[in-house]
Amino acid sequence: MPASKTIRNMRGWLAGWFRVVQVNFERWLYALHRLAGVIVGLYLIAHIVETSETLVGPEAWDSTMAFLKNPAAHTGLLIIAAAAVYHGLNGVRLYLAASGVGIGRPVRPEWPYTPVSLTSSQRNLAWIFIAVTVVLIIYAFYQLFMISLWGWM
Amino acid sequence: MSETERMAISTTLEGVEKPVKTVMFRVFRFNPEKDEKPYYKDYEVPIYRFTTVLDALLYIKYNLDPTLSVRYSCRMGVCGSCGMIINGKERLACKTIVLSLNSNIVTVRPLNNLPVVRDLITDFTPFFDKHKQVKPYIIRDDVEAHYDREFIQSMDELMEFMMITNCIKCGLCYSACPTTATDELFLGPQALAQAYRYTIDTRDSGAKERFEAVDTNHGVWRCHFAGACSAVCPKGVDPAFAIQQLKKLLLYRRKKMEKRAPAHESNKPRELLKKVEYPEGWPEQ
Ligand code: HEM
Ligand code: SF4
Ligand code: FES
Repeated sequence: MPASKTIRNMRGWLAGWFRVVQVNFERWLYALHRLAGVIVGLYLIAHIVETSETLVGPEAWDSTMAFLKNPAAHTGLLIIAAAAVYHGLNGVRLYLAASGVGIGRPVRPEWPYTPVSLTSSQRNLAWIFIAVTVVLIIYAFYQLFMISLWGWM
Repeated sequence: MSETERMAISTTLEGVEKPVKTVMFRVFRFNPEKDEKPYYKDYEVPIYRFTTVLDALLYIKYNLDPTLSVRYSCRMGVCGSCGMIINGKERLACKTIVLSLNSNIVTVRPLNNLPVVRDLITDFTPFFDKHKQVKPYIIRDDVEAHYDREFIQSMDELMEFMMITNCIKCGLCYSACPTTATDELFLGPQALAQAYRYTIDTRDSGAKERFEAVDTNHGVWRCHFAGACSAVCPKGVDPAFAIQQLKKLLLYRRKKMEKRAPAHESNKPRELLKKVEYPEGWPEQ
């Protein structure tokens, strides 16, 4: 008996991939990983275009570098640096999880049923990686703004 | 009975005889024969201390609007029919106490990523199809060889998958998963968890067939460990754990699992059922 008419009801990428209210921590990590992957991917293309200026000659490269030496471009670089570091480190965590590392051991199913995979060391590892990312953001800020733009040293 | 005991009992009974408050239920409505588009309709429901969301929906159906369609069966979290999205999160309506939501407006809508048939009812055909695709049963050549013998399995071997056997096919994980949100062919957390459950079972020798079913473009590698499934599962199945373990088997132990000999039978026949004693006057069986 075919149903007369149904609603497809797929969430789609925006409400599905980036659903971030009332969700577990790992889901944030997932959304961020995806976002960071796209940012790094776009940067890869931009980076190839940018460095291909060297084919034109040293002057072209120098003028590109001068053109990019402004707060807006350096903010972009800061975001890219953060995205690259986070994506790489979190990728290691995902790889470890797929190897069965950090996701706990099975337990006897008893109320209140705490999922081991969401309470095991992979979660601590994620916090450590976030902390490393923050430290590296601070370092990138020091390099990109304090030294390069503001010439403090 | 002491005064404190009496006090304790009267506190326990509070909110049972008289409603604690009235809660507004904002319910997703869609009748394929009448409606072009779904809409939300509000109902006021008196809430007692132990009223569940399912109780409230049935209150609406009996007292306010008999056209409301809702699927349920056991009312105790074992049949898996009443999964829906309650205040933005996948839950079993029969296991959700309204007061525990701490909200005067409760929004109820059908599960995501499955076609809506009517009101809160979704079509589980794709979900069950995927469950079947992973061959969720013990595969071995001699499965019916001795009906009176057990296959030997240790407690430790059982513990490897015991929590995954708890699955009631409620579809909450399937609705919460970000991959099912865009990939209609993705097997989903439930099916993949069951693939692991039967593959790791020492009585099974169907690893090869099951690996073929999950090592596809829409199989286990579409899982990105967002963990949404495990966060909403009402039975402690932890599909995210099972799926990562399945990836591990595929990455490191594929050949070994495919060649693994299944657990052998006990050499003792099982104690057969004792003859049932029927009350006097019952017809002989
Ligand atoms: C340090 C190097 C890198 C590591 C360790 C790494 C790791 C990973 C891993 C493990 C995944 C799969 C995640 C999952 O299962 O959800 C992934 C996904 C992805 N990566 Fe990378 N990656 C790296 C560099 C890059 C680069 C350079 C790019 C851009 C060209 C990139 C773009 C992406 C994209 C777009 C995804 C898909 C996002 C998703 O699946 O959610 N990654 N990465
Ligand atoms: S794994 Fe959990 S959430 Fe998914 S169908 Fe089974 S019981 Fe429901
Ligand atoms: S009615 Fe059976 S699980 Fe809710």
